[in-house]
Amino acid sequence: MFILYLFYSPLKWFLSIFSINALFVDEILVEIQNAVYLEKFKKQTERKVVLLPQCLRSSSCQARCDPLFGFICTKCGRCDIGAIMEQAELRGFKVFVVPGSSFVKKIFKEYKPTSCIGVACPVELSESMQKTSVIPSQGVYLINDGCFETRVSVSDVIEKMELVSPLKTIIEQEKKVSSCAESQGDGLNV
Amino acid sequence: MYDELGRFVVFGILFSFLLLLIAFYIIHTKLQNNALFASYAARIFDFFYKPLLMVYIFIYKSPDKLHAKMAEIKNNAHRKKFIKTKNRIIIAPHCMRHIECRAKTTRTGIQCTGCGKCSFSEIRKLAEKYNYKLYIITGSSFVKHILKHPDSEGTDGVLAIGCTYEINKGMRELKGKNLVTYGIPLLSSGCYNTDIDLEFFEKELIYFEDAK
Repeated sequence: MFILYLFYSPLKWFLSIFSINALFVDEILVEIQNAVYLEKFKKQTERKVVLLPQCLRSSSCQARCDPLFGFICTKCGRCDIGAIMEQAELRGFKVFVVPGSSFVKKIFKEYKPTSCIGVACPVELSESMQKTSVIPSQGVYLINDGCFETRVSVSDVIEKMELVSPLKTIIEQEKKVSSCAESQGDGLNV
Repeated sequence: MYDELGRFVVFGILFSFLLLLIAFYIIHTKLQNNALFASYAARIFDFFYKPLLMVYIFIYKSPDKLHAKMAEIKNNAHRKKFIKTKNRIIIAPHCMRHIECRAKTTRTGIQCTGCGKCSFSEIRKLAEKYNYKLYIITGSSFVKHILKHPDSEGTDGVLAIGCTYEINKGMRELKGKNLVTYGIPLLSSGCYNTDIDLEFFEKELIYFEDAK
């Protein structure tokens, strides 16, 4: 990773000479960072966040932007954010839809997450993951960039969430808790 | 063979340190006002961007200083070239909008209605007065949509408003495209309810107009 940081700009320049897509470097960098933080990321169970970019929103989105939480999604179903939010809530993740990369700093100060999943275009992601290297993070890059009606594969994001808190175990835990509560209730009745 | 390779690596490292030292010397003296020296320093900083970022995060805990300095020297390097440009556009970030902005987003950016809630109505007037086209974008990779669009054909100068990090990123992306970029930094970063110094902005516009 260090070597790749060192040769980041030369490599990009080199690739652009051979007209290879220079985003390639960023994608590799994100993959390596994912691998480096994977083990630490799996151990974190508290204060997990998912950071989504505002460009995922539909162009007719009416959501309000809050100074602390970013855009407040109403889950209207016009974009994929609602679907991701529902899955995230099941798994105990908090979702922030941020208007830009320097908003992330604010969230880190206010919410103090212990692990995060970031969704962004490769350039933005490799940069942000370097900045947020204080906590373990996982990155998912967008299918198309351009800051306007972009898309992300929802299953990839869910896969990343499954790494820490698989839905099966959560459901089992909930069942246990509810059965415990029932038995306690029975006990009280008797 | 390995002996030679080792020598080569050591020489390369020493050489890059030398280049960096010269660049640091330039940005800390009056030489940075000279376009030639500034463009040299900007190139070096671009080349060693990621390692420098690592060092700055390690020392200052935030890379803002590096970005601010880089934007400054790039402006110094590009100022004279920017004066010669004819078709200029202004690219502004969406975070300067008012919280309750109801403007629609299309392929050419956010369509400002000029409601007067934020400083964009002022900026629009200034842009019209000094012959700039104004585009309000939702993020830095939107720039390529705008440059592809037929409306912006023949553009050779881009006046970018943004936080210093985004200015840097935009400039790096537009480097090989026959465009001259000039950055106007925001007063604060944070992607929310940001603003620029309008007086300073107008001064710069007048400066570029007079120097034509």
